[in-house]
Amino acid sequence: MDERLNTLWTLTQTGIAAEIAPPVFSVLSGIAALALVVFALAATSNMQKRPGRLQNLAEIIYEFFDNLAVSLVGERGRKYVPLAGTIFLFVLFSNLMGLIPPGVAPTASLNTTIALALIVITYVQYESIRANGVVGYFKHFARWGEVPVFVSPLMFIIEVVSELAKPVSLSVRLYANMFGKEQVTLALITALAVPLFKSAYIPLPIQFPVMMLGLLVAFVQAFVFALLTLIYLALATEHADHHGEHAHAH
Amino acid sequence: MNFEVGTGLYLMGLALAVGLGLPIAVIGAALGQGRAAAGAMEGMARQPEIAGRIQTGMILALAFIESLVLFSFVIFFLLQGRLPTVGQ
Repeated sequence: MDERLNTLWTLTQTGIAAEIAPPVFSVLSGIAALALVVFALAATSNMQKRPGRLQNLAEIIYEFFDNLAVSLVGERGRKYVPLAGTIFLFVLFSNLMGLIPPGVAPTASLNTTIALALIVITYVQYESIRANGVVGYFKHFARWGEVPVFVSPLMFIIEVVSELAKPVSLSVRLYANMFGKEQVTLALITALAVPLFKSAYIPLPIQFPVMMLGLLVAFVQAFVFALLTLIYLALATEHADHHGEHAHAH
Repeated sequence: MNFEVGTGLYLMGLALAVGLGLPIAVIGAALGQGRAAAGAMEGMARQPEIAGRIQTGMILALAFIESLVLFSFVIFFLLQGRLPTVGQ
């Protein structure tokens, strides 16, 4: 018993990430990816005009992101729907894995979230170059033609820094949310449940409110990650066509 | 002796940073999020037909504000790991 309490105490004091090695998170995110593949195959293997439950769910998710992409990016946003939808589902699966008691969310590790953010940002740069050309890509950074010429070098530096800050904020936001939830749960277990019940594994009623909050956070953060993916894509490709209705969030 | 005073001051500063840093960030973010949500609700009440788009924008704004708190939360954990335990 003492041994177990000591382990729990170390977990809360040093953070989960220090205790659980990165390979564990890799395996967990592999499981999440596998679950996604199974879900996709099961939902699309026997498609019908009157959809069953799984197909209906998949269609709802797809339609939701289709509407979102069209409203943010415009008609050409349709091709970004698979990326945004996959990221949403993967992050959601990963987040929800942390809510099943012995599990840890793979997204509670910086390794997973940085990988996701790098995928998104690399694709954004690729799309930006494809939409504007190499010269247009750098002109976009310098805000060429939008600001006076002598301000352009300054704008270039600012834009490059803000472009570099995107993957950082994207990954740390998701990581800190999930890591925070796990930490608060663990802290409640060690600080309240262990002294009260003399056991590490009874404390469900005490950590329950945090778990409910975690459920909400899991959905919101998955949605925010996918939404930001779409918005970055919209910002990167907005110069390709010159009529209104763009995302202006920044 | 001099060394001990320095260590004591260091630990005191560390404890203050751990204890007060996050609450200060939370106060600021709570005020900001309250304003953002209030503005969004008002907009939704005035124009219910674009409530969906307002909601998307609101969630985005809240996520941006919240990420700042979470940055300080991460730093809180980094600092907390440096505090000595009772035994030490």
